[in-house]
Amino acid sequence: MKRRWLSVLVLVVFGPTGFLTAPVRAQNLDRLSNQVESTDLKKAVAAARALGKIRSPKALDVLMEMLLLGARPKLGLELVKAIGQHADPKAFHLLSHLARHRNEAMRAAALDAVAKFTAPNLHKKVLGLAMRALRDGASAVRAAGARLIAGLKNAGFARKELTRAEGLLLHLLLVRKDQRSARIALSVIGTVRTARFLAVHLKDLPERIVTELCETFLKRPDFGPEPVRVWVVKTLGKLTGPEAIAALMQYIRDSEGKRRSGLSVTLAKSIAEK
Amino acid sequence: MTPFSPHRLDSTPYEISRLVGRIGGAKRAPSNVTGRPMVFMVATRPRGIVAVDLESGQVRWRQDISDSSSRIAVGRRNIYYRRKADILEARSVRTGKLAWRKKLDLGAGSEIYGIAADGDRLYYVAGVAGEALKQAKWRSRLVAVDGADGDIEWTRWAPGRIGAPAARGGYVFVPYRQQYLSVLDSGKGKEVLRVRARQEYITFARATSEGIFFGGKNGVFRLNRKAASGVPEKADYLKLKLALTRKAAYTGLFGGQTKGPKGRSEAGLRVAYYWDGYEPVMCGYTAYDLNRLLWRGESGKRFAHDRAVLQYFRYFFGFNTDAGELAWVHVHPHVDVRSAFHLKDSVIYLARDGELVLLDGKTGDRLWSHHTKIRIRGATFDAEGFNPQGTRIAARSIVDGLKSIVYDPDRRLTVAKFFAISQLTGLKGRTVSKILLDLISHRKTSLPLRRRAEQVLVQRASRESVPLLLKALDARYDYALGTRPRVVGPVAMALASMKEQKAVTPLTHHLTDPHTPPSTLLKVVTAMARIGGKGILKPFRQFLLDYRADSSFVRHLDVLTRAAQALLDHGGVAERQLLAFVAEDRHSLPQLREFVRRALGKKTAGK
Repeated sequence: MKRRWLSVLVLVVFGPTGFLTAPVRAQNLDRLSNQVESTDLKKAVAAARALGKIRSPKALDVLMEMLLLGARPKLGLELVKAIGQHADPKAFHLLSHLARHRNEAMRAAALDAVAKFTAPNLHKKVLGLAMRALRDGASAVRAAGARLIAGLKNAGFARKELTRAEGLLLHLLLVRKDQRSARIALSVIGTVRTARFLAVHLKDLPERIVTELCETFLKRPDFGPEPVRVWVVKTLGKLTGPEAIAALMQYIRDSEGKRRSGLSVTLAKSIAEK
Repeated sequence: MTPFSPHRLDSTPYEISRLVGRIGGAKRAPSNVTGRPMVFMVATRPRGIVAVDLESGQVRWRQDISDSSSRIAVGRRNIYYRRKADILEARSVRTGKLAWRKKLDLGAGSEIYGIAADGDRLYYVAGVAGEALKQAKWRSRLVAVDGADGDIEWTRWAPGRIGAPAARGGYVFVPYRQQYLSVLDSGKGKEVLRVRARQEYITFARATSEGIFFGGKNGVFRLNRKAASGVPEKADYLKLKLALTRKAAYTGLFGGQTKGPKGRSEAGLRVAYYWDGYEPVMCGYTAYDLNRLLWRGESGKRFAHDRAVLQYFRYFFGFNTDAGELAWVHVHPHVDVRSAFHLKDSVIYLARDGELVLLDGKTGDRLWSHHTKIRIRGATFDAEGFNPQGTRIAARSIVDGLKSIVYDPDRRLTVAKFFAISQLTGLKGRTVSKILLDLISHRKTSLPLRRRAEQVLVQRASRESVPLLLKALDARYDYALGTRPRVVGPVAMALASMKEQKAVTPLTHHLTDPHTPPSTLLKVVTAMARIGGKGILKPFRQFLLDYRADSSFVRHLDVLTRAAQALLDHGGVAERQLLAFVAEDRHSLPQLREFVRRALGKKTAGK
């Protein structure tokens, strides 16, 4: 009992929220606030990183203020990453603004920072940012947009809202040959539409991306129904590369491990035997 | 006194007037013995001369001649032409049968500068050039030949250069020493008139049914008593003057040179009033025939029907010579026009594939056409008074004509496209704005043409084009669709020239669009600064803060400095405080700090 009270006391006094650390933290914050404005870029970057780790509204304010007043490009990137670590909705508007920065690395960093915002009330705005990012000329920005899309799906965003994104990603894959974004997002949000698309445009797409996406679909527990899996298996069966066979073999092994059976598994076995 | 003597005095107005009276007016009718309008073509594949009766459209005769090397001169009974370098031939107008052939004794270094026929007499000018000049006693000679048998009737030698002759009414007219028009009596070869031009080079003489004309590259004198002054202001001097309001648009496009992109010169559409009589190459059908001015004179110093037609390859531009404005445009499709002639009321031309077309000289309407299906190299028309019955097809509108020129895929005709774009400056209407916007947006438009179209778009900006311009700003960069707005820069400047406040919002979008290229960004900022107003303050404030420390703007510093200047000009206390911060903060780009510091200092001093 006594030990327990002692632990609590220690925690209160010395722990992360302990008031005895508050003045120490405040001094730290002041020091870092000054340091982040330093003309020495290394020091300023280190200060920005440190401020990203301090879970304090004041730290966030310092980071935001530095960005609002304009920072050097390299420092700006670190400031954005640091803001992302806070994941505070207060910074959303600023990050949305920075998602249109002329520097593509800054745009990508802002979008990656936005990805850390999981509040459902921001999902639609995040989707808007992601859709715009997919139309960006820079590959890194489109990839960041794709990560946002994948993140939304994982966060439980409504599937029907992501339909437009799926269509745009398929267009980027086929017409603009953007495999990177497709790989990132379609593997997570791809539906029967993507499966059909891959089957129809098999000759126009690089084998590798088709194999990767099909392999991922087969691994996803939510992908289906079974006739669609059959379709995906058939698509893999039409490919000639060893990766396709390896994907089918893996699917067979996974299915046996999970004791899953069905026409898709049977078909995969027969293709693999051939 | 011997003809072409350097001691001969200039003729008086009375002498000129008396001679002109003797020559009189000519009937507007073909000069050949058949009395029918005809065209004599130098055909290719196989090479030969073909005579076509224009009224019936029938080929009258054809002769295979592989080496004709001059224009065809049409006399009364015969046509005349040169073969190779020194053979003159005559053929019957009626049958094409050879009348005579003469080898000329031209001498070393001598060549023919031109031939002309008047009735049954032929004239040619031969001149010495190059090394042979050192040993030659005489510089050039004018020779009269009996058209019936080819015998030389007389030869007149000259110590100076004589240009290609013209002949009518028993007289022969030649430019002499680039300063004179000399007139000789055809029977005796006696020089009866010498007219001096001051301030002008005389390079051609021309005989038409309205009179005798002579001139150079700047304009044309009519031969009458006033010509004795030799000065354009006092003579009946015909010159294609262009509307002053668009003079800048024409500069460099008419016979001059102007600096194009990156300092390269652009050769322009040439206003060549006639062939240069001192160039022996123009004795034949050349590329010169593809670009020249087609005109006829009327009374005094007027062009016939106040029209002159500029031909450029397949394009014909009819100018109102009174106002100096474009009156009509005609485009012949696909095939180059090889020969054209002004018949006073109309213009007739012959395309390379043998199609003959007659245009109304005043309106550009198509009056008549006939296809001979003969490929040609050049042709001479003897078609005065030709007025066939045909279905009149109205000329297309000037805008449509210019548009078709601008979008013509033929890459040879860039000069004409420049000209066509420049012409759009003075034309009103949204259609023209749309044409310019489409041209600027089109991926295949070459950079010089795009630049010119942008200039014209800005020059002709007007209130009625504002909705169209604002709509053009809706275009967005989209990697997925592969679209890129190409008109933002010029549209921004056009709207700025009208200080259109509604443009601020769409321009702000382009200001903050990361895909706006720096050159366009500068125009957007400049335009917004010109438009002014409170609406620009917030976007400029944020823009300046976002990039004041961004080293990628070192090469595009003027984008930031203009934004800063605009904040100073249009903003208030808050903007000045912001600028003071930018000037003082060590993270701002040094050049920007310096600029803002000075600007703030000036502003303060100005108070």
